[in-house]
Amino acid sequence: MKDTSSVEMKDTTSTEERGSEPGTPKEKAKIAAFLCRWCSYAGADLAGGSRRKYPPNIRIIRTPCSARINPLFVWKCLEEGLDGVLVSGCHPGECHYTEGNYHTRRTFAVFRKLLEYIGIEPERFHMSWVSAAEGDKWAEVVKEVAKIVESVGPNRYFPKGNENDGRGTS
Amino acid sequence: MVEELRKKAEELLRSGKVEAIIGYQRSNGSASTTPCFIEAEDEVTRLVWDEHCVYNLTLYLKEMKKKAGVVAKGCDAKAVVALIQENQIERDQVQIIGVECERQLDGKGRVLEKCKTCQVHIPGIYDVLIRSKTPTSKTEKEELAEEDDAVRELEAKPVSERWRFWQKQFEKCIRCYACRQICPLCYCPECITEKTMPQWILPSPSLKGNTAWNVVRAFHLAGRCVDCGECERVCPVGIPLRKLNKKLEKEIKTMFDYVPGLDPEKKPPLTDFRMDDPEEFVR
Amino acid sequence: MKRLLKKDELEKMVADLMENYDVIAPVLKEELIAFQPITRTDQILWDYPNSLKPVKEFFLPPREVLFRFKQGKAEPMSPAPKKRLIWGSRPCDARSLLLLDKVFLDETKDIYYFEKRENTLLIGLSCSDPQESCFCTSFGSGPHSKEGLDLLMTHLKDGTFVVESNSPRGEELVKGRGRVVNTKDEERQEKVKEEAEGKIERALQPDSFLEKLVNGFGSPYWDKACLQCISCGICRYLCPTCHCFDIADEDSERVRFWDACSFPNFTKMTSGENPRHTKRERFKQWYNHKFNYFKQNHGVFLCVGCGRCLRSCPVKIDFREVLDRIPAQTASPGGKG
Repeated sequence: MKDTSSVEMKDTTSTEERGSEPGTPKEKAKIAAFLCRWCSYAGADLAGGSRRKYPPNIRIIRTPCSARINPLFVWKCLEEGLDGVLVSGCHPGECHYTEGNYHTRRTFAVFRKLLEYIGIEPERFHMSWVSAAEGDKWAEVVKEVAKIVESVGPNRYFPKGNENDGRGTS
Repeated sequence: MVEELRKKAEELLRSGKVEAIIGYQRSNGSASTTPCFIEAEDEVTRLVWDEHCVYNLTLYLKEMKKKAGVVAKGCDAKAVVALIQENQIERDQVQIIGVECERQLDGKGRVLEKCKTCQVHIPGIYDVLIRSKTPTSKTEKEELAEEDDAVRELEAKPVSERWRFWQKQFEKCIRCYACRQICPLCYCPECITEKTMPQWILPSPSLKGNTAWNVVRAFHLAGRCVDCGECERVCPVGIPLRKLNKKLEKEIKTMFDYVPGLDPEKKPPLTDFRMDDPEEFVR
Repeated sequence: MKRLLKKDELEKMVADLMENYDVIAPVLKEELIAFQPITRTDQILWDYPNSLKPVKEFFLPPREVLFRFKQGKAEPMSPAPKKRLIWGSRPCDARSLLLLDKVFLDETKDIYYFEKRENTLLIGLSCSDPQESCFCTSFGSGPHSKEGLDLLMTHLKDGTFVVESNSPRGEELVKGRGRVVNTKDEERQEKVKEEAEGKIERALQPDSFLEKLVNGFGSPYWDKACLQCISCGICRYLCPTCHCFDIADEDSERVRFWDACSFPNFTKMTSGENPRHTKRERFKQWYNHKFNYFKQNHGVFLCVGCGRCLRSCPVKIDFREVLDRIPAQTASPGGKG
């Protein structure tokens, strides 16, 4: 029920829209989505159940609460070459644990500023509130996020095999 | 000031209020100083105070197992506040010997960057205060204007240029962890870099690992860093770490109206929230 | 054989060598003095105190890939391509390599280290202006020591250099360049040398350190001596003779990288047990390794007197003082090491 296989997967975006450069493998933007299990995950599930269409770029990871999403998760995704990250939880005031999402909000309000400051395009990190009843909103959010992430092109922060191996002269 | 400092230290030791004094002493006959730990009254003559006293000695409070007195400048005293806020030390376990300070010099005799924008020449928290005979010179307004310049300059650059700037800096990192070790607020018994299951941060000095380390270090101090600037001072390869710390300080001040190290009663901003926190970035 | 070369002749020599060697020389990089591969001779610093990082980084790199693995199979690294030449190394750093040889070549040959060592020529530049923190003469080296070098250049302070070969490989490089020195040149060289040595005022007695360390092993002295130390890795990493490393798998690479005995994790075992469980033990270890264990195992002190640890310590710990102050005791009370 959780994964996007229940959603009709059809890539409607063209290569140009994704901002891929000529010569790069034609790959869809990959976006990790961390969803709290009580609201956003259920919302995504509802979107699937209601056969709402949205881009298949999203890889969903379920967490107990959005407050469980450590900024390191986001960092690791970007470090490993994912093109974007979405963090989603319950609307303020609706957290299953009363105040978890307020903490998430503060944490990422600061963390996104740090990412931007060290040179990560702000288009790569997104956050949303999606309730269990908002299947439609979930589909919209994914559409928007996928489009924005694709607009900045593939993640090239840490090209593979680019590390100094100590074999050269330095 | 030195005489007064020694006298106060001696009093504290004699009265039994503290069992040790953490202060500055001359380093091997040179002008520079090194931390000292004094337990006997007759040793207080080792204590010195001048513009070469750069260290943030409150660093040592976390490993002190006895009641200690610590010589603290304005910036250092803020770290004590943060440590109290985070339940790392008990207020009554430490005697703060505050010293008024104008500006301190680095190893090459240049005024430390942090001192140029200092706003706490007199510590905000102390048990004993040693005043300077020459009052500090700058007005608060001038200092505020200078404050964010370094950060603003970098913010104004395009995102790709910022990335290149920081990659060039992080590339130099040798992972000696002096920035972490000198930080009074880095007190985790086990640092995230030491965790291997899973290995969140690559341990070798690779660009990937270095970037992750520096990002995590900065973020973990968000809303806690009191800008004593010690991390930047000790970095052997000269990474401008304060540029990271100051950015987060600025954002937290703007978004949550919070300045670290001022009020021991307040909760640190990232353990706290308000219903109406900014959320314009949330969809 | 000693020859006299002018600076432009030396620059010509470097330019010629660049055809066959990767030339690594001291340059100014982001306000730091660093050894790095050069492409032009005008990048070279001819007069510098010493580099921040020692030249050990070219033999035991801060990060080195041992092999890569793909689908369960290890892929060995390809052999090093071009021959390397380190230009302008200080004699103290050159000596450090002889000490590292004892670790990496004597009993078991470390192929990664060996290959780099074999592949690299070392051209030294004698020190004319030792710093206050230098004490190489106390450890069997000196500002003009040829030990471990293929060639040693000495600046006569007028734009000319005496170039002295110390190996057949070095002789080959300098053959036919400049002119053979005369007695007057040699006298001047001697004078420069004496002047430099005279600047190193402080002589240490390393043998007394050994005795004190052995006798003071369990001394309560260490409880207090370690207090200042912040347990960072600066002195270990910047030391030309510290050679401890860790190995880890990163992505699909097995890498080895510098590690330091000041970190708690250095000795921590899988079970959670840590033999050096407090700062006291970790602080003491460094001194013992350098001035006690290594001397007992290899007959020399693991120090070349470059003074980097003194210059870079964040809290200005002076290791000479730490060692000097160990109380002289007749017998070790034993107890916890």
